[in-house]
Amino acid sequence: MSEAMEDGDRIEIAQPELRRGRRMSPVWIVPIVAILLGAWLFYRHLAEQGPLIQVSFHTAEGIVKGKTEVRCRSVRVGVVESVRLAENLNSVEVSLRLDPEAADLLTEGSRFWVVRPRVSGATITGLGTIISGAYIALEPGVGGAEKKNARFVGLEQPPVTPAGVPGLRLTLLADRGGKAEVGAPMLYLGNEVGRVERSVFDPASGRVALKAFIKEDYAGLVTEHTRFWLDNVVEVEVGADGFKLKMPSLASIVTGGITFGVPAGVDHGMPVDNNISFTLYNDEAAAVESAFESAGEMLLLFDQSIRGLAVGAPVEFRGLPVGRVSGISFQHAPKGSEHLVPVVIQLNKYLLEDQFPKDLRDEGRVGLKRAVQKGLRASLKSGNLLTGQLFVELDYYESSNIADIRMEGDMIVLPTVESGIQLLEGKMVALLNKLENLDVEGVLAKIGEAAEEGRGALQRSEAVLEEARDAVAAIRVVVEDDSFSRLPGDLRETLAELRTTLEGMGPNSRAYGDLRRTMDELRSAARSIERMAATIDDKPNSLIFGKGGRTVVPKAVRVNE
Amino acid sequence: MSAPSPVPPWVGSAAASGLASCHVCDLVSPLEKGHCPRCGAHLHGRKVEGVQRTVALLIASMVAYIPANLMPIMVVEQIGGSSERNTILEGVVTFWQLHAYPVAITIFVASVVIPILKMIALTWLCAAAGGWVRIDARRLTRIYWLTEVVGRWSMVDVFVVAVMVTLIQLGNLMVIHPGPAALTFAGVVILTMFAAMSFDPRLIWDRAYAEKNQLRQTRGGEE
Repeated sequence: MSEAMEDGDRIEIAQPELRRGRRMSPVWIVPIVAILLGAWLFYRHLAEQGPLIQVSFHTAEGIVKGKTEVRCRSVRVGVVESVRLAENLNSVEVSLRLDPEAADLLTEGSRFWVVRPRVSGATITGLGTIISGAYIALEPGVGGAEKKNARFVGLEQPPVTPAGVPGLRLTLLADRGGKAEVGAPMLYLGNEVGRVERSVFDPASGRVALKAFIKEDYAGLVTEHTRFWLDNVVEVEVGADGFKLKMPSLASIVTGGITFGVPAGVDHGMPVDNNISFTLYNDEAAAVESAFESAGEMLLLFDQSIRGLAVGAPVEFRGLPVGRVSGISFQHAPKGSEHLVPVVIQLNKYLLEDQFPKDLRDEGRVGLKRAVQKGLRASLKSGNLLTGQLFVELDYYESSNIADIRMEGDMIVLPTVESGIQLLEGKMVALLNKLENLDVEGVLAKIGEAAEEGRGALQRSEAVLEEARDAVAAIRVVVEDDSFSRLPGDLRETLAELRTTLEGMGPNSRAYGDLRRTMDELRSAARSIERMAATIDDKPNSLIFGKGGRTVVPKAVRVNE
Repeated sequence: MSAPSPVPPWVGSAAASGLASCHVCDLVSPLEKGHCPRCGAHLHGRKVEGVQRTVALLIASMVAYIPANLMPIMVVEQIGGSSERNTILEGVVTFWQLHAYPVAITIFVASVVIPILKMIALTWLCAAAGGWVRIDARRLTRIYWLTEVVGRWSMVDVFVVAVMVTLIQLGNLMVIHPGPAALTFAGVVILTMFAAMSFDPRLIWDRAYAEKNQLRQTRGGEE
C-alpha cells in the first residue's frame, strides 16, 4: 500500500472512475428480465397442467412415460406422466396428465384403453400405432358426475361400441368359449345389426357370457322367442341333388358371427329389454331344435332291435320332420309285452302345424284313430346306411292288419310295423347265403365249354346258312307255284277251326276253371309247406310235439316223494 | 460482489502512471484527459462496471439455463400424429441408449458441461475480482482464456437444432420444430459470452498485486 500511497495524486484521479462503477448498472435489467421471464414460464407451466389421474392396466406394453399420448377421438388431450407397477404387482399404474381443457372429459363412466395394433378376426385396428406407437384412448362417459384426480381401471380390449350409443345390450350364454370373438357381427338375415362387445368366462357355471349389442334401429328384432346361433359353421349337405356347401361370410368364419331369428312356426313374442340372457346355440339346427315344444307323447313298441336309434333322433311323417325320440326305456313297457322295445316319441307342436295333416292334429284323437285304421304305422328307417343311424318314420301301410290306438298310461300307443330295412336285411342275408353257395367255378367252366361249343356251332351255322340259302331258293319256287296262291283260303279255314277249339279252353270254359282250381290248390299247398318249414325252423320239436302246445319238458324226479 | 473493490493499481502499471488504453483504438493516453486524443472515445482505466456487468449477465444466463434444460429443445412430429418432445438431457440419454456414444458425449459436453463450467468459471473470476477468494493469477488467467475460447462451442447445440429444423421438413412423414428450450439455450450461450466479454481480467491482476502487497506488508509487520 505504501508504494501506492506515494502516488496520491494519481489515486485521487482514479478514485472517481471507480466510484462511478459502484452505481447500479443498467445491465441488471437483463437478469431481472430473465428471472421474470423464467417465473412467467414456470407459472404458465403450472397453470397449464390439467388433472392428474391414475389408470390401471394389465400391461404397460407400448406405454412410454412422457411420450405416450392420451387421445380422445384421436385428439391429443394429455400425456403419460409416469408408469409404475401396482403394489400388488398385478397391474400397472399409469399416471396421465390431462390438458386443462380436457378435464371435462373425466366423468364416472369414462373409459380408457390402449390403442395398439390389433388383429382380431377379419379386422385390423390401430395400424397407425405401428409407426406412432401406442396411445391411450379416452372415452368420456355419458352423464355421470365429474371425476377429477381419480383412479380408473383401463379396459384390456377397446370397447366395440361407445358407451353412449343407444341400443339393446344382451347376454348370450355359450357352453364353450372361443366361439365368437369380441367384435363378431350380430346378423339378422345376413345383415349386420350389432356386435359382440365383451366375452366373460364364468368358471363357476362353466359358461361364457357374451355381451352383445344390437343397434337401436334393430332392437325390435329381438323378441322373447328369438334364438341365437353361431354362423361360423361350414355346412356340407348331401342331398338327392348332389352336394351343397353352405358357407357363411369369411368374416363370420374367422370371428364367429352370431345369427339370430325366430324359428319357423314360433310366435315372436314381446320385444325384450336390456340385459336379458339368451342361450347361444352351435348351429341353426340346434337353435330350431331348441324351439321344440311337445305336443304330446306317443309310445311305440318295436319287435326288433333298435340299435342305431338314439334319443333325439328325428320322427318323420312321410319324410317331413314332426318330432323326435324323447326316450327309450323299458320303464314305459306295458305289462305283458316285455319282448317289445318301448320308444317314446314327442311330436313338435310347431312342426306339426306346418307339416302334419290337419286331421291328425285334433285333440280328441279321432283323426289319429282313423289314420291308424287306414294304416298309419310307425317304423324304424335307416337314416344313414353308413352309420346305421335310425329314425322313426310314420307312414301308411296298406297291407297292414287292422289295428287301433290304445292308451298306455297317458300315452297313446301307436302300432308299429317291422321296418323295411329290417326286412331288407333278412332278404339280403338270404341272398348272400345263396350267392355263397353258388358253384361259380363250375358255372365258369361250363361257360367255357359252351364257348367251345359255340365255336363249332358257328362253323356249323355257316353250313346251315348255305342250306338256308338253298331253302329260300326252294321256297321261292314253291311261292311262285300256283298252288301257293290258294293257301290263304285254306289258312283262314284252319284259323276258324282253331278259334272254336280254343273257346273250349277259354276262361269261361270248364277246362280253364279246373286248371285254375288246381293251380290255387297247388299254391296253398306250397304256402303251407313254407309255413311248416318256418315253424320247423322256429321250433324243430313241433314235428313231434305239435305247433300250439307248450314245450314238454321232462319233469325232474322229486326225490322227496 | 456487485461492485469492484477500489484496488489501487500496482506500481509500474499503466494505470499507476495515470495512463489507460483506449477501448476503441487501443491508443495509450493519460487517463485524466477523459477522451482519447485520437478517436475521441471515453477513456476508462478498467472496463466500465466490469464485475457488476459480468455478474448481472451471469445471473441472467443461470436463470435462463433452467428452462433450457427442463423444456423440450426439439419437437419431432412423426407420421401417425405422435410428437416427441426431447429436452437436452433426454436427447443425450437417447443417443447413449442407441450406442451413439460420440454423439451423446459431444452433445453432453457442448450443452451441459461447457455452459456449467463456464458459469462456474465466471463466478469464480468474479469472486476473485471482488476479493472473495484467494487469487492465483496464472490459473485465473488460464480459466479466463478457456472461458473465452471454449464458451462459444456451446452454440453447437443450438446450431444442431437450427440445421435439423431446416433440413427435416418432410411434410406428413416427419417435421421437426425447435422447442422453447432452443431459444433459452441460445440465450444462455449468448449471455455467458457477453459476460465473459464484459469481464476485465486486469481486475484480477490488480487484485493479485494488492494481495501480494498486503501479504508483504503483514510479513513486514511481523518482522
